[in-house]
Amino acid sequence: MKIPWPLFLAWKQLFPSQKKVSFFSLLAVVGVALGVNVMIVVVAFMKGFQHKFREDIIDAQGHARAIPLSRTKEWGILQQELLKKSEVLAVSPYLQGPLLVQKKDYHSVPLSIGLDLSAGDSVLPLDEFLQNGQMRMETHNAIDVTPVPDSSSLQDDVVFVSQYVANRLGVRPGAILRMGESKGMRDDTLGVRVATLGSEVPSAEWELEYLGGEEWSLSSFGLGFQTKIKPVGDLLDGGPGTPTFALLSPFSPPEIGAKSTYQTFRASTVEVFSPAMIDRAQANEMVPPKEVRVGGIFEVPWQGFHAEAMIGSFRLLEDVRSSTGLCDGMFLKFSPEISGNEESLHAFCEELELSRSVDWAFVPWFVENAWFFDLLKFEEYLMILIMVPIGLVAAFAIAIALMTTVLRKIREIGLLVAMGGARGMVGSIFCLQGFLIGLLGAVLGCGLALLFICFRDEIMSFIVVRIAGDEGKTGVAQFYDFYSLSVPYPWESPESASTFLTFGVFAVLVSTLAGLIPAWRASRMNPADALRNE
Amino acid sequence: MNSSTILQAKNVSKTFSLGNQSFKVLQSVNLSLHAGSSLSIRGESGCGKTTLLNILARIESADTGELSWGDQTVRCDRIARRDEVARRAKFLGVVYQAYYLVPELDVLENVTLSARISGGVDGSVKDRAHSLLQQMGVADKARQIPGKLSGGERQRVAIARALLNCPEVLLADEPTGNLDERTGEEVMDLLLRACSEEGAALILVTHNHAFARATAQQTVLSDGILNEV
Repeated sequence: MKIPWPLFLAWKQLFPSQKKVSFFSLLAVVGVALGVNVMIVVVAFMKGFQHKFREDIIDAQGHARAIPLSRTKEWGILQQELLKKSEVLAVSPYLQGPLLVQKKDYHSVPLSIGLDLSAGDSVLPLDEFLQNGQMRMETHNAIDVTPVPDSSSLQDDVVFVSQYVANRLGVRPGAILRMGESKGMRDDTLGVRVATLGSEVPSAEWELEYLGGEEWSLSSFGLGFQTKIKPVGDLLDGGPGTPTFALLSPFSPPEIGAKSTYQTFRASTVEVFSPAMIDRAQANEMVPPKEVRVGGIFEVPWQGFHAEAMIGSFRLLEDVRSSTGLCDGMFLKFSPEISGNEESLHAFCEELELSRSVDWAFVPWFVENAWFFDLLKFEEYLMILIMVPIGLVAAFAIAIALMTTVLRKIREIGLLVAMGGARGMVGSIFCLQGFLIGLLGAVLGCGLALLFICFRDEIMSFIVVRIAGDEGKTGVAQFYDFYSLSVPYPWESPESASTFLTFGVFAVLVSTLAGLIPAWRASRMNPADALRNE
Repeated sequence: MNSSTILQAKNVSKTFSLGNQSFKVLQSVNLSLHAGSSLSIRGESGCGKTTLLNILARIESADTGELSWGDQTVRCDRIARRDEVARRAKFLGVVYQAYYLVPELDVLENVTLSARISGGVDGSVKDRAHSLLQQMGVADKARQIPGKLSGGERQRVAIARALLNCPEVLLADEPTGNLDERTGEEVMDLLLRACSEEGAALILVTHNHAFARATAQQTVLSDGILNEV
């Protein structure tokens, strides 16, 4: 391949024969590479945070919310109509508003959401939230084997509370511990695990014993309770008010007489008042509070979700608010074809809105949270605004270095013209040097950014552990979600590819432009004057 | 112009201005060189010898005068334009007192540089470069960088570079000025021999009487006037 001679000379001036690399070239290329690396990493991580927030928001409120513009009892019809559409995967009607929750002398006023889960899957991943919020008991002679509660335990007299509310009121759901000598016993020694622990199970000590064949015994000395049970399917159910066990699969029967002891702790109960109930109480009316059990503690990853929150059944909210038949809105979940991009989601919401005779607004998640994403975008642009001048400083450094090279090589410039080189071509040598520095710097910078993305957890851990120790690492993980951040590689996402490409091209352009002034100066030189230069 | 004249300058004048003062360095200089012949120019330092070579090479403009390269009349009141530089690269080779080798290139790359500028380096160009380096006695230095060569070796490389494109005229501006007497003689001997073998006409600027005497025509530039000796 024939290489244009200005490019050949530009390359040779950066990487001379018999010398691996010149110090100037090395500094310039590394400078550009670090700049490109920082710009890509910052923007890629900002986008990672945006992506995570987007997922968290969708988890916390679905792809869209249907909000009635006037109080209506016809929402059931809309719910059925929506569920008939193939694009709609789930609809969760809800009631929401503040309720006063009391436990002895402690009070909380959480935003309370009543969910109707009768129509199938919930839009909100309640089970995931409950998993996030579960707190294990730490004891020295027992282990906490409480199963994570799930949305099926959301009865009309059960509520789930956020960690904040649980801490404020000092409440917790029911718990079960495997006790004493049974602590060291692995689940599969007895061949069972605790499957569910209803919030109605009282505090008591329990003994589960294998009697042989299919027969088991569940007893509680304190409660004066004893029953023989046989598995139904793989469940060992002693009846209401008892913990339910499940046979491990594959089940291998233990020795006859093998037993395990458990201690259950009853779920806390709280008293709930609605504003209407408080009004009536203030009017000296006798208003008994609604007493409910705490069925679980949840944590919603989206920080914009109310920290002081409570989730109950739709009927519970109806009951305490005395607002039968009304609905404050519906959480909606759509198919990936609709929810995959914002335009199609917006268009579908508009279509739903126009097709309604009754006034309902269909608000996509990104419209409702536009303020937040505008803020993130602003932050991203601000970061770029701060970083671009850093890139320009690097460009100035390259321009100055190339200008010095021009001054150092004045007689060489004259020689090249005397040997038949057009002055423009001679000047382009310096422009091409800028281009090559930019190109190599961009490639190296992209490589560094890939390494940073690949080993981000290790790098972060290394830095954080050295600054703040292992506890600091937990804090960073809790507050920055750095470790769970999804930062795609360029080949995995067009957005990531465009970030790499944009900053790569930016570096090449700026470096090439930095070479323009020295190039112009070189091309303006009179060859005879250049050759006379001392 | 005689059919065998390869380079001719007629009434070439050049004046430099410095503030309000002006210096007439060339006054109606006439010069004629036959193909394969040689001519020496002597003169005091600063008398305009290099300026005259630059004008002949068209890297510097004259105020007035006429210039012919081969059978073609070219303008000497301006330096060669973009479309004329290729012709210059083929027609002329230049050897400088300070060698002007590109320090980042090795010897072979330096020698082939003019070919690279005029079109490209292929196998035949490399073969010729090797042959010229052989002729100059520095073939074993082909992959060395100029910084590792002695002054004499550098000038030999510079001569090989000037001869690579088989120029019809070789302009040598004090090629032995930076060399000791013995090395200077060796280089001069090589230069004259190479010009003779390559059939190139030579214009030699020198202070050395002996070297000047080795050329077919000898001239002296004094007060801007070129006189034949």
